[in-house]
Amino acid sequence: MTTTTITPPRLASDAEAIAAAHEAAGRIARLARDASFNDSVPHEAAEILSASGITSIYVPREFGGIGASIETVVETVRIISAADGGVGQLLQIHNVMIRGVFSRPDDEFRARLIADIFAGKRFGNALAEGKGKGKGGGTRLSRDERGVWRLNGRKTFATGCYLAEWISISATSDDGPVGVLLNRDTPGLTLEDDWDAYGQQHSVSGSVGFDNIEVDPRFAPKANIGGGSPDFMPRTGLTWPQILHAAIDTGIARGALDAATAYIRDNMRAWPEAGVDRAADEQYTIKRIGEYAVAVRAAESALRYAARTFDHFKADPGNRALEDELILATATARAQSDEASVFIGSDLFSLTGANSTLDKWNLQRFWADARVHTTHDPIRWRIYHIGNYYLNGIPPDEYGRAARLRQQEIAIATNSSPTLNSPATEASPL
Amino acid sequence: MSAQSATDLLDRAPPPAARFASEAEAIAAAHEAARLISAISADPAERNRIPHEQAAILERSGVTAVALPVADGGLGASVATIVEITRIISAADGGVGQLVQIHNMMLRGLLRRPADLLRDRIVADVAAGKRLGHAAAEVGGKHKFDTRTRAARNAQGQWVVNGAKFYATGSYLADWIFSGAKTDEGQIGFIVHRDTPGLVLDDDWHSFGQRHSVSGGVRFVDLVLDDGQVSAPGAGAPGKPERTGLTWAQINHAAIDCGIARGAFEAAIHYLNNNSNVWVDAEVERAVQEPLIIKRIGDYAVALRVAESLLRDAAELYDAYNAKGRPETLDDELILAVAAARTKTDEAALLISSDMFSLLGASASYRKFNLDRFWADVRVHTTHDPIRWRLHHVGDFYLNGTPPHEYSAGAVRRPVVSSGN
Repeated sequence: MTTTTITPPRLASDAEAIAAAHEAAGRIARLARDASFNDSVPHEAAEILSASGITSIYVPREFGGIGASIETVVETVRIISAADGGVGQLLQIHNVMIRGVFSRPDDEFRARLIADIFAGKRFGNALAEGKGKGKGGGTRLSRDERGVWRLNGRKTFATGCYLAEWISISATSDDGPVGVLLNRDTPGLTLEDDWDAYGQQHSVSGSVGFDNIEVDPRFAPKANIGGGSPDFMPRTGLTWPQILHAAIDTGIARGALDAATAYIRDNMRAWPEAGVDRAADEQYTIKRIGEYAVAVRAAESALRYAARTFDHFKADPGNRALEDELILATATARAQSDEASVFIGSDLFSLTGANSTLDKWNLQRFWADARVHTTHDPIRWRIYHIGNYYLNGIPPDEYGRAARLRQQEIAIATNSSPTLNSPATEASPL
Repeated sequence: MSAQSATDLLDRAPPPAARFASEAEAIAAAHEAARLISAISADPAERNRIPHEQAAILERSGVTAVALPVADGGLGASVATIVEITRIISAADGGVGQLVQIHNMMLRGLLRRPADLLRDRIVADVAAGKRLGHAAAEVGGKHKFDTRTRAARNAQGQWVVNGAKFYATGSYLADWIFSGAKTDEGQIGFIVHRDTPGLVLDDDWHSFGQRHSVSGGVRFVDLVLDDGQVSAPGAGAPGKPERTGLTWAQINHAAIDCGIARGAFEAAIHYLNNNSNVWVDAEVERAVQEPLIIKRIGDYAVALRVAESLLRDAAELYDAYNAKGRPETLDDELILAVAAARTKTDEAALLISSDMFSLLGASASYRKFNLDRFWADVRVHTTHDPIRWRLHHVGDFYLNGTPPHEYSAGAVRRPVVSSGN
């Protein structure tokens, strides 16, 4: 099944992009509040996302886009995630996966991909194989007896693919790791609706299967791009997905805060001991909401600072001190957004009371979404890198250096040119 | 309806409830029942089902009869043992643990009634493993104690009850339901058997956790009561309410959360040993060897041990209090001890059940592992009454010397028959 044809507006500026994100978020939030949609594939929300125009704001000016700043793209992911964390992740993975398109050879295929982005089509990723990151797996590209390239294997945690037009895939081959980009309608490609987690159901992070798919070699860059240097993946290769992950959790935290305050104002009985008529007038409740607000504001502030630092680094990519600062700032944003979203998503029930636990209110979705999403990679290791920098002066990494080496195959899967050590063009999985 | 299938299940295999020679035997039986219940409740398909099978295991285990006097087939068990049984069952399934909790609340109220035919019949049922449920709270009122269920006398002078209760924990699976109603003559309490015409037990507890506590609706549709089922207006309502009237309910609530914390802790360790992948940055062979994980499990263990220790202390204090005839001089200390246990069991259970996913990895969020049930259960259960108000009473005592309460006496109208839930 493909999405229906839509004609998104061509947003003219970063400010228009932010406004469009708010408009889309308002409509997506109304869907997300309905508990009966929790386990449904979010076709309608995904169409709202694409029809808003915000899925093409990251296209650079030289390709006809507005080349929105990192700060703006991050903000759109945060805004959509405040409405629905799973739909926010559709936007996150799309922005991560389209980055490689802009460093592809200038050909008909690239032109088609860019036209699709402007038409609201989205990208998904099929990298993980279910046995832990960096482990590589059975998905393999090989030549058949007639010399035709064939792809076989299976991926899991394939975020966004079930609703995406283009699937970015990593695979092994006799020539080393390769990346393959396939259209959703490719014969032999199966997109499965089997993502069955207790949260982030709308990120459609299920399985993708490859049954002897014939692959046009133009769509499968070889591993030896970059000359096989062990350091070919830059230190900030994962900073782009990381900052967008932080945007998702920051958004969920804001969504939880807004839902909690609305429930307390509109739906709640005062606790009999409090001596107030309105639950919202109880001092203990007011003080606790203050703590939530401080946690959300800290996450939003850390996210904004990291995004601005990223924009500065894009303009000054050789600046090692700025690179350290970017990784530290992004790790801080992830740590604080993780803490705020899980804290508020769970603690809000200590204020909203027993009735708020009924399924009809659907208020557990914030904890469920934040808790599932924040398992993407362990926050303890983000904090470890911050600590190791301050204590021992070790330059921080996203995933450690050893991990970066193991991520080579994934870098290629995003169809980028890793020798260009610039955050605007480098590879970035997940 | 599904209540019928419960009866079928019990009719198929109804060995009489076990009799115990000692409290140690009862604890051992609770562990065995918990093992069986845990094997069922780990299955995600059980999550939103009525726990008929778990309830049947409970019934046959005999652990719900231990509070009865020895002469009636029980053990006259200590608070420490009853609390421990609730904790053990809750480690397997927090919802089933709440069936035990509410049963023991109602049982204490029953045992304080004067002996009569109804009391004898219910005591015999409890000795045979049957459970008691509670229907007090309602929705729609101004606050938790603002209720609208009413009773009026018919031409024969019998009470006829109409109204609807909610949060009626355990009632859908209980043999006897304890409730109350307003009348022109004041508040009455009553006890009604599940098969009574005019009593409707609804399977409508649609919450995101504690599904197995079956805390849905109970409706009374022209429910006619015999005099023997009713506590007359004013009867049993002490002129001076006992300050620790809700402490019995509170300590068993703490036992539920303490058990859920233990259940989550053990599930996390099991998953780390059997399912977790090593994170790419950690230079170890197995996830359980990663220092950052080891330290965090240490944090969980300390939180859990603090909770268990406070619960144990509070239960022992409660036994001393009962042994001394519930002296007012011990009221403050007992209420503070139980409030401390509730606070730290709440904290430990929520910490472990939510934070453990930060260690287990993304695959642990698959529904097939059913690991979010611990958070869902404890998050729903701990909303029973706000912990911030337990802390208010603790703080007001230490700061201003104000004698602590469970729910403030001024705010509470206690049902006549029941002891509150």
